[in-house]
Amino acid sequence: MSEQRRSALEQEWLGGQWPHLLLLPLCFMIVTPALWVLKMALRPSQSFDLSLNPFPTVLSAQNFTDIINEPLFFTQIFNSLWVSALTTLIGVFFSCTAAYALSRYRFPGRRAGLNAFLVTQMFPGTLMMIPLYQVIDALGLLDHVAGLVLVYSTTAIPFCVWNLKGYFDTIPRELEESALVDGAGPFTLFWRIIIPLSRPALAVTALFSFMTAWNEYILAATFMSDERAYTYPVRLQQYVGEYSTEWGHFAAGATLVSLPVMLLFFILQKHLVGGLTSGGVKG
Amino acid sequence: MIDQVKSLTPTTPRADRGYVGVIITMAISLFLGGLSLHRGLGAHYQASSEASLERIMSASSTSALSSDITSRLEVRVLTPKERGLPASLTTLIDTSDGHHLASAEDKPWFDAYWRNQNRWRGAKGGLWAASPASINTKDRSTLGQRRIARLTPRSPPPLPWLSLMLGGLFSLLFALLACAKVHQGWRLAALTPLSMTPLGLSLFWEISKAEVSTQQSLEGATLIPIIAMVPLVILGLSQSITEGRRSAHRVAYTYMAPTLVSVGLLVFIPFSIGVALAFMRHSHGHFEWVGLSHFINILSASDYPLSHPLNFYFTLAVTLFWTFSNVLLHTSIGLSFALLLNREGLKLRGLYRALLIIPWAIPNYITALIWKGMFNQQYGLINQLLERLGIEPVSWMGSFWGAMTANITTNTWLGFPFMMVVTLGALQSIPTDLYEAADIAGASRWQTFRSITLPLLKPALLPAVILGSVWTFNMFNIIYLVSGGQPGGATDILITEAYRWAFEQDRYGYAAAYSLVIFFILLGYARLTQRLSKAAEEVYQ
Repeated sequence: MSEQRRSALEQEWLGGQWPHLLLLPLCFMIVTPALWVLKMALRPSQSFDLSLNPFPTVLSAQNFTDIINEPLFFTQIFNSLWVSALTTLIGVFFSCTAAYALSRYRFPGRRAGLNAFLVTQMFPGTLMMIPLYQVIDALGLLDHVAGLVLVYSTTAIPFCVWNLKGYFDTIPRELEESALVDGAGPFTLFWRIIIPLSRPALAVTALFSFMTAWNEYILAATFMSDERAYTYPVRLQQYVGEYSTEWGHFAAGATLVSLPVMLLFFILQKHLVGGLTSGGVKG
Repeated sequence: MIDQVKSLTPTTPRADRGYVGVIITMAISLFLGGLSLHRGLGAHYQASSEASLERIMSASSTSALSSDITSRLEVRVLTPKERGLPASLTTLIDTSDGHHLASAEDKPWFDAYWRNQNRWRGAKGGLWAASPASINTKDRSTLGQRRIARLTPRSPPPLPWLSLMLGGLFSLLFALLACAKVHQGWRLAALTPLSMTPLGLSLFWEISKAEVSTQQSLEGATLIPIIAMVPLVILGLSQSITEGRRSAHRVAYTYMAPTLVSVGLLVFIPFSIGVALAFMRHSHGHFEWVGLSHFINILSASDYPLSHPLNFYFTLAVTLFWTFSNVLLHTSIGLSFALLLNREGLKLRGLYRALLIIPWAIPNYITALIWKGMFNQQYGLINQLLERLGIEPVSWMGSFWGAMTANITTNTWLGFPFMMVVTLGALQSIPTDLYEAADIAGASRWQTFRSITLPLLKPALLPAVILGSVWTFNMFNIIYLVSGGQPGGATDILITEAYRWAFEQDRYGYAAAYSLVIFFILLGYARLTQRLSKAAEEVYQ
């Protein structure tokens, strides 16, 4: 009896673990390009030619010290950080109340509002870019981080509204009803119940709006012409642009830029898509 | 009579009249009014400078000019020491004081002399005018004297904050008063825009002051107050509509207000300008109304044959192919990985998942540049790999299919993790007793997958697929950075094409029209999918 069970277990275990045979090589294939970047960053050379072996053979910090010692490195990184932080702040702050209203109240114009926010996701970047260029030029904000913050916020806010609304929809209403019975007002409900409950959602939304700004290249390259106003991606692209091919420096910069985002991704990976998909279906 | 009775018994309590909305809207009006006044005055002073320069060039002496202009004006009459010499050998003399142009400060004047133009704008915004040139364009030698004038631009006028603020304050008082005392919708709708009067008066006052000082009428002067009035008209209308219902939905609207104002300013205004641009032609800073001609041009695609990369329908076909193949690959690969990872009792699941979302976490412009390097003909790894396998190296960017393969590979690599994570989440929400029931009923694996897993995945997958296809449709970075449209713009998709029209050809109007067409295609697609997902929901409920 017990022997039978053990063999059944063994069989099940073997049957359950066969995906490793597929997953191991596939994962390896998928991670390889990222490993190549790391390898390029860690060897003191500027050419691209690599061997097929993705693991670093030399360990040198030369590329990293090179790019950090550039005169404008900290200015540009700071620009990037500043733009991203402000975009995140505006994105989350201006969208969380609206997301709450859209999730909890039925009022005239709700559907129209929801659709309008969804429609902005379909705006081709160029449609907004041309007028924004004119507006920012008119405001005298070309070559100024504030201009970029304005531009990034146009995409960040509608996205945050949808993402947060999706999360708020999943919070059971009973919680609020019982709080109402206890005599809480609408604002207490929002600040004391909804916001603390949706911390992971807020974190993910903040991460996404941070990423829109942190990872954005083309708008920054179009709107900024002064080197001191560049965000870091613009500088990074120049390493392998038309006039130079400093792959080592590029890889080192790419590693520096990607690592913080990757870290946040791993921390928040369980919450990454909850709001998006649940928000999408219910409308 | 009935109206009077109604106004005596207000339906909403005093506190609910929406004063905050009035204040915010008035602030926006003030901002728009100030901005357009600033721009208007700037353009006006520029135009008046140009006009006075014309007068200087036609007049023989500068004595009749106002002191404001003479203080900013410099006139020189330049003549070469020896005629007929090429530019590099000529010494120029200022005939008015016999001064030789030799120092570095004289460099702009030296350059101005050799310029084959009569009017132009200098580097620092200065206006230049010169009498007609008699320059031999072949060897850049000259024959004669030129009278050259430079007008330093008047520093942009400071905004008249005080009068604007005063006007705005009185306008705000009127609007608040109207809001508090008037109860009928139509009267409120009429009175709110009327409360603009003080602000409008202060704007006109500033405009007329500028007109007096330059002795010239300001172009488009009436437009400035009209722009400032638009938000108030909208406010009046919305006040009259929500009147009566407002108290019931007060909280909801209060929550919506900050977002609506910011979205209105950041999204709606640029969008409207973009739409307006689509009907205009842009050349050298001037916009000219051209009606529907851009759209007709794009949609009739008469300028290029159908197989030409710049033909709209060709690009559209490429874009559709690009979107479809990417979404198909993203979904199938993501789904496969999710199914593999979701097996019960699988070890190291967390590690696999963490490794597989790496491509998503790397900024996509970095991914694009790396893959561009990998597809390089000489040093790229892909060709190295092919060589190991005994296949000739391929010039990836040289052919349409090669470049498209590079683009799609890159985008697939960075895009599938999103689908995988979506599917994993959805798989975990499927109740296990459904599978147990299927097991008892003796269903095969494939049957279980088809009749339980797939239908239950649909509500989560469908929106992800829709969102993914919209993102892919507008995926600028990959196309722009990996293939860059090579060969010859063939792999450009609609969005990169629009970018090129705008920022490489400077045809803003055409590019805006192009973008608007893209927008309508996506809107149509969204309506279609909305119907599809509704139908799907009905089937499974």
